[in-house]
Amino acid sequence: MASVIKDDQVIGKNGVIIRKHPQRSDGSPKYRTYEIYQRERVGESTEKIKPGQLISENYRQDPYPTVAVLREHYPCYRDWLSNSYWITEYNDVTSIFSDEANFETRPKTWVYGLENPGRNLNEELPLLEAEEKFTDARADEIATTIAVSLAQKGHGNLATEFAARFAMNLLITSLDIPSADAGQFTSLFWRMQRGTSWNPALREDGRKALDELTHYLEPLVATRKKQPGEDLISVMIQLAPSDEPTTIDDIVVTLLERDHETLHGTLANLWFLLLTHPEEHQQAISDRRLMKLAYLETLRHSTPVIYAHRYARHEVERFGRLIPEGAQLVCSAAAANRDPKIFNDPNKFIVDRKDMCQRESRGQYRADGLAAGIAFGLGKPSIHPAIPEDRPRSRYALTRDTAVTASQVLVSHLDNIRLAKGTSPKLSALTVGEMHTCWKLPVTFSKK
Amino acid sequence: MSEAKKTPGTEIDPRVFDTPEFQKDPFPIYQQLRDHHPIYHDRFHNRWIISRYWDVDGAFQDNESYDRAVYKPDGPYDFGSRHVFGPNILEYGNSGEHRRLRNIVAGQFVGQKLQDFIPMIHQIADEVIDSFIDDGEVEIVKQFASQVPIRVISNMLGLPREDEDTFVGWYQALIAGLGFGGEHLTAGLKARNEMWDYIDPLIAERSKNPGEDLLSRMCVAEMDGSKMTAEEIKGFVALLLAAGGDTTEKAIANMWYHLMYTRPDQLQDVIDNEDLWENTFTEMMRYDPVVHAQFRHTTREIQIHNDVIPERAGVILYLGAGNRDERAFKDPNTFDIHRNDLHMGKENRSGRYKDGKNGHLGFGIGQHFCMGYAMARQESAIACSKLAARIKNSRPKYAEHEGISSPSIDSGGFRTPAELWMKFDT
Repeated sequence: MASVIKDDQVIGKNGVIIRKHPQRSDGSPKYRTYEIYQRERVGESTEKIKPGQLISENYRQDPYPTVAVLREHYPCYRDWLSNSYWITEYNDVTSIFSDEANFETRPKTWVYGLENPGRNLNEELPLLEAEEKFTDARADEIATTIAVSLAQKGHGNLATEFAARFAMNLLITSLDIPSADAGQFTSLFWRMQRGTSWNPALREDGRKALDELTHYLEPLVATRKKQPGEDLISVMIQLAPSDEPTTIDDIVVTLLERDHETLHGTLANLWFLLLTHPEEHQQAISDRRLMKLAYLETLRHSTPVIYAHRYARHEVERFGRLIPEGAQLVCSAAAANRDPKIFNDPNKFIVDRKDMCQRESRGQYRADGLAAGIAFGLGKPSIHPAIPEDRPRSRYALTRDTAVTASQVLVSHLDNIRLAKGTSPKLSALTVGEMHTCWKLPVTFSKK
Repeated sequence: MSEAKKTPGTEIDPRVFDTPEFQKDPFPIYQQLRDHHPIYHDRFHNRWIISRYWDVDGAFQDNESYDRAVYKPDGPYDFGSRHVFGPNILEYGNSGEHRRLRNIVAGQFVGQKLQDFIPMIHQIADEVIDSFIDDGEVEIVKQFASQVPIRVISNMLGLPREDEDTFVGWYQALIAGLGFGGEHLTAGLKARNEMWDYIDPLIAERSKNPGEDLLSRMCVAEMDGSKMTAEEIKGFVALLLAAGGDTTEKAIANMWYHLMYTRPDQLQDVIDNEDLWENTFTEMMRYDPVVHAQFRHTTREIQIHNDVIPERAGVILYLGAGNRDERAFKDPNTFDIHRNDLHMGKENRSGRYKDGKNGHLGFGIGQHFCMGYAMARQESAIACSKLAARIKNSRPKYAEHEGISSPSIDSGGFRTPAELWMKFDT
């Protein structure tokens, strides 16, 4: 029930007065915040959730039951313990993300508190074009190398030896990092990304990794300035946005700000879900279209980036609450993607789901009238209803196509992929708030 | 409990703030904060923490940079309250509205107005002590500490004495409702609504026929032509019951706990010299006060200790940590009622004293300095000295005690021992 206006009062959905004196003397609306708060909170007791649940071990392992309580009972939950507002309904989460006028996303450089950080080049068109060109050309080959080496063993851990390795090899190859340095680069990149966590020990380590990565890249960048190649570092060097030459800091920040979780995490989660749902597995491996649908369903059902923070640019009233300036909003993709008002049987993994859009979710706009799984970390959704031919595909589409290619390659080299006997893999985060994915997925298979 | 037992390191995992260990003994973490992270950005809880004495003092004094209210006073919305008590001055930041309400009521708790209530405090303390004096033992928390303040406040307000037990139930629920837990919030709101229903007819009656009690005075008090509304009076009564009742109750229990377990060697000093009860109160408010933290929001970017706290950030002022700062007090982890580097007399809102000594931060400082400071001090000292005067050979009933603890993150309330048994001769 929407709010109604009666006798100069605005009556909220709980039947309580949320606003009196609708006009100030100058004609602007007048609110009494305590009326909004007090009465709303009387009607909306939060006894079904304890603050400790949102940081608990159970939540780290499986956030879904907890966020379902929030979504069903307290869709804009004021979390006093973590000083934030949890947004859990699908439409609310997408509305916050498409509302740049009132909310902002803070970059990872803000988390690190970097003074004068470099520029993030990830949205530069030439870089996107180069990335698309590289990925389309080389993803198949990189996946094949991994699949062939796995096939020779007859068993393996798909989470680390396939999902994580493919994502990292793709990045390393795209940057043309010498193969002797692959281990060092992987470690630096991973430490730098984990440093954006709330954990001060990881952040400190991440800071060091940022410095080390800068030192590591210095000679590489110097060489490529003289002799540019086709790799993405060379592309970044040649970008020089606003006629300012690209610096090492720009390159490091660009690497820091890129999504590092979706390809790795969703690939691992996709195979976890397929291997624990044999019927869906058979369906998905039968053709590329169905593998793509399985990937999209994974992004919805078990997205690796389960929440993202947004910050209120100024005091704003939303969802029956007055949200103060600077407030942190925890937009929960885990809750939104399983919103029963949007998806039927939301907890079920259904490869050929009929109620899901196959394209990137773009705020309130839905390409074919259906919602899609929310995936954070892939940059702003494209503002174009359809991608013009002269533009590269969005990162959302690029990541999707790459993951599908890698999975297809795996299927074409390995037969009869099954969970190793006696194993019961699960999804979890390393610490509360980090990527929610499958870290161990032991499998057996035969060579095709 | 008397000394920090762990060797503090430099790194702090912010999850520690949610643990029972921290709720029980936060002092090693406080030391780490002061020594290694004078400004600690806790991203896990989305807040900044200030812990050194002079930094906490500075933040309390700096109304231009730190605001208690969640919302901006110059924002598009009127000020108000998100509070379980209802509209009350705790939520009115640094605004004119805060000054108006505070000016109306603050005078009731100091000077001659306070002195008018002193005989009543003596009488109530005696009545409470009578109820257990013949037993040879007392559970101080429930039988003594929790009985005195609520009776004093309901008496001040002129509320019927037969309902005092109901008030105790209400204020405990109200205080717990200030914590993080939803269940407690629900119970707090229920208690508040019951209390408001109870008090509504009383406000109507005393506005017409005012007496000498505090409720009547609030109904008729005027400051610059402005009176409190009925809603504001009810919010203030809730505040008074909770902040004036529960905090003083905990303070009395904590004083006895520290004398019995932290410094048993000083218990006899206090028994022998009743003037030392005020020292005990002051040192308790420094060493381990009832309230350890106050929340503020920055109104502008603040540069401090080579760090920057952004505008509209949540900041915790750990006054419990500031009180143990070696930069302000010698041997800060020692409880000592004869301490000569702490201002032992009455507190004031400036936090500056003629004797040149530092004061404790337990009542806050500045614009939001506790209004009931003098009342709490005198009430505690009178009640404790009355008890001490009527008993001999007071001693803990049990040699071991689990100590004082703050409530868990899923509940609310103040720091206090769960129970405190004392044996004595009469």
